[in-house]
Amino acid sequence: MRFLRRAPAGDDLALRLLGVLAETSDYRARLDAALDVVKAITGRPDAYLYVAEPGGERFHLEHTRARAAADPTRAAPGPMQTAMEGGAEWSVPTPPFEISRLPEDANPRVVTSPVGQLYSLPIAGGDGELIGLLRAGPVAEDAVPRAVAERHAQIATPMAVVIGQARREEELRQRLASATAQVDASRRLAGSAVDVERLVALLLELALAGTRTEAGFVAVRSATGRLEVRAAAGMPPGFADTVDLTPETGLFDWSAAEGGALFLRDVEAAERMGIRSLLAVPLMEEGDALGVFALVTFAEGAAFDEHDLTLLEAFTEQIRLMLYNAQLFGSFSERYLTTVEGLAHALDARRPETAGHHRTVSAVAEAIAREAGLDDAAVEAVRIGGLLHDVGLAGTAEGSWESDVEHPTVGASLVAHLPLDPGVAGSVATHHEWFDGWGFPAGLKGEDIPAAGRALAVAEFLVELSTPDEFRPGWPPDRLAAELAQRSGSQFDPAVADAAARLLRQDALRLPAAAAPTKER
Amino acid sequence: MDHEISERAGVKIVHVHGPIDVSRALELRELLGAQIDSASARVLLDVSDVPLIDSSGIGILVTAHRRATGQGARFGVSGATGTVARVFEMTRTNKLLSLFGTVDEGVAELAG
Repeated sequence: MRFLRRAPAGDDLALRLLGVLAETSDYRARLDAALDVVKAITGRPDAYLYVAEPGGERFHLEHTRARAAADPTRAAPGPMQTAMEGGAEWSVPTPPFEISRLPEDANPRVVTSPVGQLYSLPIAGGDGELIGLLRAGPVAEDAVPRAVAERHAQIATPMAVVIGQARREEELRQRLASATAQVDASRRLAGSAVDVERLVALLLELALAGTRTEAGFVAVRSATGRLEVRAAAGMPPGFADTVDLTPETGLFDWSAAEGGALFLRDVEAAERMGIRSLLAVPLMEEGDALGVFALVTFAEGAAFDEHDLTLLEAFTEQIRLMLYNAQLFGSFSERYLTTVEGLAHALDARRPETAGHHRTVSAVAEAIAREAGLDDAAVEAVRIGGLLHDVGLAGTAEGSWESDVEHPTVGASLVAHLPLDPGVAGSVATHHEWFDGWGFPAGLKGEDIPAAGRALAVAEFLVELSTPDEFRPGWPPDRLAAELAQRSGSQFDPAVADAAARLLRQDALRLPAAAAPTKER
Repeated sequence: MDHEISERAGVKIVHVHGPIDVSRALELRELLGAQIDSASARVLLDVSDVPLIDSSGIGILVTAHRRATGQGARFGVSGATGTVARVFEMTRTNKLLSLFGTVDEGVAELAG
């Protein structure tokens, strides 16, 4: 018991514990320091931290602060002998990695484990919920001595604060690392769309949690140069739609000409919103202003500290990098799409009768999709799909059977990896599928064919038959309508065929004018 | 807003205490506006006792700087350290304002 008399007083230890959070942000170092305090209050050489799993039914061993395995004093209480080929080896027993929660864990007690008898001391959160267990040993007693229990009671609250905070911050770091990995992965796979909105919202959420700030928002410069709120949390209702972020007159004064300096211009507007404090930092990339990241507090006394600024800087860097990558990828995609469209256009130009075919199909398909009630995103997908739908012919041997069958798949593969609505590649891939399953290349049926593909199929049919070729005149609208009715339900989705028929009757489709064949038979 | 005003070598030194956020920014604007009142005004805001400044506070400082420059007066900020200095850097306003390490340096520069 001599050791206990020399141990620091509880208050000193409590202060030392809380100081750990300020001294280091390294998770393991914080847990080391916390377990050193456990060793000090128990006078035992080995300490273990168990933390509760979600649900609280089990604990897992999170951290160990024990004598080195080679320490001869650690052999007690009864090392295991392990048979090894060519000799024998002494191995050191280890505490269990996982344990079930028992009702008696709520109080200090002595437990038996593979590393001998240990004190088991509870760590309770603010709500009294058990968030973990501290274990220390080896001990000879069968009960926790009163002096140890008293010292534990003195440090119980700061210990819960330190362990709880260290774990929250570590979880945040891990979530950030995972988000960063997602961004990196998206960038590396020059193929998949970078889901900027989702990641910006996630980073904002993490930044708010990390800085314990109530509210914030991320505004990003759009293609037109306007700042638009892309993610907001905890801001007044309607904030994203009503806030004026125009650089010349809005909430912020922000000029790339002044090195990207960013500050609040309209203090009165911030006051009207009930904002107490607002910290906004510019997201700059090589002198180019990409956006603004702002943290906001409404409550009195809630202020940003050094730690918040460090986190804010880290998150700002993440968002900046992500926006920059998305911008690079976006402009790459735009150029690539223009190239693919150019290829489709060049295919059309090979024959006089098909000149402008892709553009005509695109316009007709867009009108039919809208008439059939597709939403705006699907209508846009049909429009772009129409501009490209036969581009796969450029990648297959002209006039061959393979060319006919494979061109939808080849065409779709050319655009499938761009950050476009999946309806674009989907419509290209399925514009030769039949509603009854008798089309190609996949033989899809009914609703399995994307709506954009069903609309594009009708459009291409109408454009092809209304275009005169070498031996056949272009068909007039009434004949097209009759043919549509005939094929409704077999080749075409009846709803799309009906929509197209309505437009034909209104003469609202810009089809090639009916004309004689381009050559006499 | 808790502050004292002194004068040295023709430079008015405004020493403010406490954080500068939205709730205090308008007061600071009035305070600085009253000091930057003529082309001959030389005003140094000492923020060595300001633990935190936010984007609204910085907005007031930049406005004061522009107003002073516009009328031929001079305005500087001294004593920004720690959190306050970092906020200037992060908002990229450190190059826009005339920042001085100490009141002495600020006075020497503004008086000259």
